[in-house]
Amino acid sequence: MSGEEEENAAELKIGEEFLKAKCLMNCEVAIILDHKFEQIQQHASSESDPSSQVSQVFEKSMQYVKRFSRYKNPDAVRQVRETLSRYGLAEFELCTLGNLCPDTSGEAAALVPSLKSAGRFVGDAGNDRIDKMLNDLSLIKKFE
Amino acid sequence: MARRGRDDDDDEVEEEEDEEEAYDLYDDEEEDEEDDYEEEARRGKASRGKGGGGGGGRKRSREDNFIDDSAIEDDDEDDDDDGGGARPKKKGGGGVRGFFDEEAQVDEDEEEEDDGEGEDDFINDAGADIPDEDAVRGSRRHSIPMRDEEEDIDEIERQVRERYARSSHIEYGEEAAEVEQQALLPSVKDPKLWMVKCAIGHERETAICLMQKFIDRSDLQIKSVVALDHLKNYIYVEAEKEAHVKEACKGLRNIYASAKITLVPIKEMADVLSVESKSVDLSRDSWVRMKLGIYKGDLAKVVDVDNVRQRVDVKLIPRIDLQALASKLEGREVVKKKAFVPPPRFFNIDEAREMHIRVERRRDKESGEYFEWVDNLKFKDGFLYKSVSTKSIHTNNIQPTFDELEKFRKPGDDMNGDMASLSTLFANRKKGHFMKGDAVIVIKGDLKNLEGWVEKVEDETVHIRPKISDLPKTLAFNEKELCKYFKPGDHVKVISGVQEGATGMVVKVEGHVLIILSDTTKEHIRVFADHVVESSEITTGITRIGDYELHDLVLLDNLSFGVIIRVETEAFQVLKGVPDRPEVVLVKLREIKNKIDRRTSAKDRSNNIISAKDVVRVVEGASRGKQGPVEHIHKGILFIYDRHHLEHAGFICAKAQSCLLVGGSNGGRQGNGMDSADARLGALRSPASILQSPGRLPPRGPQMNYGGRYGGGRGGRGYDALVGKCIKIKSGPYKGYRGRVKEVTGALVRVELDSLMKIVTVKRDDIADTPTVATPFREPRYSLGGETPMHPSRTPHHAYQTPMRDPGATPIHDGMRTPMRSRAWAPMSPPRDNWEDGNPATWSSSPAYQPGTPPARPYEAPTPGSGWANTPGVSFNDAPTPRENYANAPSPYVPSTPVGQPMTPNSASYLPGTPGGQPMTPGNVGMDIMSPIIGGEGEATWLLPDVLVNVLRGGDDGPGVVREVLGDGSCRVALGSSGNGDMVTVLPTELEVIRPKKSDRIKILNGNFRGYTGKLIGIDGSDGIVKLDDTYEVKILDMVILAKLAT
Amino acid sequence: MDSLSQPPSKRPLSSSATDFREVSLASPPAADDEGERSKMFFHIVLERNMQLHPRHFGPHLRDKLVSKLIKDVEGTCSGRHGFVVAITGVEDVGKGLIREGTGYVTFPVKYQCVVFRPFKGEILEAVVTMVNKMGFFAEAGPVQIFVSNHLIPDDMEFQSGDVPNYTTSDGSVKIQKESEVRLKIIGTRVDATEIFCIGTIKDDFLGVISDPGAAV
Repeated sequence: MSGEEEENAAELKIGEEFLKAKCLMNCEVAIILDHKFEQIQQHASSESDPSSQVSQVFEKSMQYVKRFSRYKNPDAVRQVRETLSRYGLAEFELCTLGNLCPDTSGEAAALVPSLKSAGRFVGDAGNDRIDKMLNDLSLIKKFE
Repeated sequence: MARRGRDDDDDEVEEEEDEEEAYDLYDDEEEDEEDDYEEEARRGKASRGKGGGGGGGRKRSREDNFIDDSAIEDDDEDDDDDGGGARPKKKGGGGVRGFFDEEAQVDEDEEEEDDGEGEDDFINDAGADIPDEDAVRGSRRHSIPMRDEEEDIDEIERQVRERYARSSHIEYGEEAAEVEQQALLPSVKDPKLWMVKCAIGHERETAICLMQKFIDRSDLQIKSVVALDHLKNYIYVEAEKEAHVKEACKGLRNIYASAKITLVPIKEMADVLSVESKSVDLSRDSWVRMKLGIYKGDLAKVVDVDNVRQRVDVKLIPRIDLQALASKLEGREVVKKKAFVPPPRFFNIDEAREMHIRVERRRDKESGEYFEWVDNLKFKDGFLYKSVSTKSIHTNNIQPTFDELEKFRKPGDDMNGDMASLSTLFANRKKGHFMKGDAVIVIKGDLKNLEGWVEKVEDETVHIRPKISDLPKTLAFNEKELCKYFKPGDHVKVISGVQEGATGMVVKVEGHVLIILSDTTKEHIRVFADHVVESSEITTGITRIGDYELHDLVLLDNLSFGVIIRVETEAFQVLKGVPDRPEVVLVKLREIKNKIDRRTSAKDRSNNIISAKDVVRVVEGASRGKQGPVEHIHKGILFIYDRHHLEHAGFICAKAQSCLLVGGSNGGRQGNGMDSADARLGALRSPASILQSPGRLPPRGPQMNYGGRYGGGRGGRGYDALVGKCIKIKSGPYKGYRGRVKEVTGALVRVELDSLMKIVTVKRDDIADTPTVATPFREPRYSLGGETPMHPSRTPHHAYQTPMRDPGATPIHDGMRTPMRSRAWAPMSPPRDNWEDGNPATWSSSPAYQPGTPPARPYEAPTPGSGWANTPGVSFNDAPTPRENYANAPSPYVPSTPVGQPMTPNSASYLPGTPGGQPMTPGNVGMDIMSPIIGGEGEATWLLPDVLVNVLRGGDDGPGVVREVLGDGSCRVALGSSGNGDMVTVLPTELEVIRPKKSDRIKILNGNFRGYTGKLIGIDGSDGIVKLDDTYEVKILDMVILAKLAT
Repeated sequence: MDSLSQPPSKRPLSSSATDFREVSLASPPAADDEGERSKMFFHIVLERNMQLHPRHFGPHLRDKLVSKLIKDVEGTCSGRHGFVVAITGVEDVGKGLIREGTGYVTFPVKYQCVVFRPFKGEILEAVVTMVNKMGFFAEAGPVQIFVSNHLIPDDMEFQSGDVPNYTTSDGSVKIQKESEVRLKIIGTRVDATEIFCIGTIKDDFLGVISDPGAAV
């Protein structure tokens, strides 16, 4: 395997089949899974344990996204996506930022190196824009 | 490259260079790199000086080997600039260097006249010709500082030797392709090589004398002198004419005036100076193994090589018995224990001093290093330094193991810097080591640490595509300069070395050592990068020993069982089948009795049948919440594999009753239980569609599944989880009735009512699952026993085992409720009586089959082994070949009894009318039968009279002597070691044979010599050496079948 | 949730299937063009050929098909797509094709699902599940990640004991079971049933986010 073609999320190199896929933030996944789980519970009668109706993968994923969702309120989640997409981010970047909620532009750039690569957030002006973006995010969180 | 800039301006450059060269003469500590540049510049000038003649061209070819392409550019520029040849000749010091430099350099004939000027350096020895890597390339001049004539000759010698030793492992022309090498070979234009006879043993001295003479006298016209260590009686002199040689040799006392001077043919010239491959192995820092003495086989590291005396100084980890040493030093007689070899241990001065061993600290004359001396042994840093003959060490193909290397490594040492271990490793590379696409890293030379990918491999030359884009497209390297390169995160497989076969992900790269996280053990493995290949395969290293493989369910010595969760070099880690807390034991191969390899099933909390590969969730106990496919089922204990469980290789042991079958997506069940996912489907559907209220349905339909699996006449139907379930009708006209679901058609369910003996159709919504009263289908479940026509057609004895099929899992249903079977094994059937006597199964298990006995008991009979005890009976009755047995019903109670052996005790024991001989030793029975290791001889060991036993019954504990073996298997035992106590009747399970010790009188309990008495004359591991009383023959028998005879 | 009442935008199998999409994904215009690059959770459209026995034919054929799909697919793991966490909707059920000899009918089914697939280089948060001297294991949903002690900052040392942990020399940072860490994935191994990753916290802005005391 020649090392060049391999996937690397940091450089936005991920598999082809995911190009068409839509990327979800943890909080979005939490809403989807929660919703689905609720319905399962409704359908499953009281006598059987609803957790045995779902796969372990489902269960683990749900626990995970609930624990690591920065935003709980569906409206807030929608706002986050809206806000971030105003800044011309790739899906992957958007979700990473939405999940990790970095505090500073430096942190954001370290976590999502591709931010700096595509020439979108260059120099101080770029940093300022990132900071602005992060600030927007924290506002959403505050008013959630 | 600063130099480039300067080169643009010729005059300036020259001045500076002159300065530098002058500086050069006094300072040989120049850094290599710098040297290179200078050299290049110089060479450029040299060719300029010659007006770009043939010599210059040749040099260019050499320079091309220089992969550093900026260097090449550099040179190009030089040439361009100097096209006019305006530069003054620059042979100031160069001429002299030309003298001692390698042959190619010397071809600059025109410059001979300059020789007189140079007197600063003159290299006298072959070794000095190649003082370091750069010289090896044959493309540079090396400056050696002027030596004070008074300087200690020893010092010079030492340094010379040091250079020699260090350099000898470097091959010539490493970086040159073959053709380029060819160009370097001497031609007719070059000076010739003359062989001159000199006094034997004074070759080096003669060479040095010639050097001195050359320095003293400027008119000597020789080019170089070579003394070879392996060539006695001769030295080589390089010169144009024989006369020049004669002139130079005149007056030397080691060269006789009459000595013949022979011309070395051009073809052989190269051979004279080529380094033998043998000395490559014997270079300083290389690894060797000792051939002789107590260190035989030990790894040692060469610290010094003396090619003349054929001796090598090595350092190794001492094997010293300090105690013995102390005694010896004190003059006491030391009893020499021959076989004893002290383990390798680092020498500890303090420890030695404590034992009053005198430790001297002296400086070594030659190396100037300090050593600790003890009784003529030389130590440093705990290592023993030893001078040995080259003949007493192995030098080829040394492949140090990781552990050995680790021991030798001082903390903080950089493994990578240890070129010796590398070169030793590389020598062992297989052909085709590098393949196209391999990621490699350069580990030697100017381009060290360059990464790239292999493009093409030609013999030893590997063409790589460098990672850095501004380098040429491909570069050629000798394969010894390359090492495979991996990045953290790569998934690799180990292809050689101790860990061969293991796979894992690279966690860290430390030079050429990789730290890999093993896929299966989740532990770190250290391996050489050279020993792995990239692979997506997943394996462990060793996964099996003998017949047992990782993740097998095995029966252990003490009749407990467990799953192998790890295979070590000589033992297994077994997670025992104890549900409460995980218990891991380390067992040796011989402690495993057999593999439990049958398909059983168990019932979960809701009485669903669990079979292997079903996914279950643990709902209570320590492992609550764990979930995964069932890997093994034994005696109602499940071994579940939960990949989220990090300990015990992901295995969890739980009671079947603490688990619940869950819906999942495991293979195995495809096509069944469609509706089990209803709840989940419901989530997809609009909440309004409640027609098939999924909540009512049990998560899965295991029974049905079961039916499908065994094809028990229900194959066509039963695609619904509900089918086969016992339900209660909760509404409608049949409210309150219980019954079993026969068929499900949409929202309607056909139910066979228990009480009314009829089948009715009810709405699905009207039924409720009643797991508690479930009497699930017996037929399919017990199809092995009940449905297979073969079984009933056998003798009734066969029925004895029926209950055994599910010893722990479903004790109740077997016999208790299936009339057919209870009939079959009603113990009172007359024809069997006689068999029963001989059938050991009945001893332990017959109470179990008495109708009305509390059902749980028999199966969890006192000894778990009891269930197995009937094995001999089975095999006798059915008399199938072991193979068939396994095939039909892979259950442990079917032994691999080689029926063909007429003398196996079990066959004997079944002869009607020999009731006396049948008792057995409880502890061994089941296991011995199964044990593939013990084999034929190790069949059930029946007790015999006069055998000494331990009674393990409360109250009567203690030794006893078997007086009589009763028909039912129990023994009349006289208590007391000499049998003069009370007589008691003891069950075989309460007896333990006392194993004999050496010289004990014994009785053979099993095998061809059953019943014979003899004397145990020796014990060899698990074998006893027995001398039979009757025949005085000596036999080697398994200790297991020997019992101590009462005196 | 008011979004439930929004009209479906795609061809839904049933209304609720679309509801999922509406809840979480519908709003931003940018998100409509199916995204371009993704992260570990994806909403993805996959296709599968389902075999169905003729006895299931009838008015509920589609339901049967979907319930079988759910059963077959949810919770599985594939090298290409990672874990299929949940099916959120069925886009299309193609024309069935009768298999000769068996009578089974194969339907190509296009469905939307949430998959979980970690990538090399990705940074994510995870919960520590086990700490030993070789490093620690952490879990991000169904995925296990091992962080070797070689990839833990050098100033953190392993402390054995009841609660094994890695602690900095000043004791200010501690990694133990249930700690939440932010880590970077450096390698993944995907096989038929699981995805296993190795990660590092030896980089800027990686490491402990919260210790169990703080985490609920």
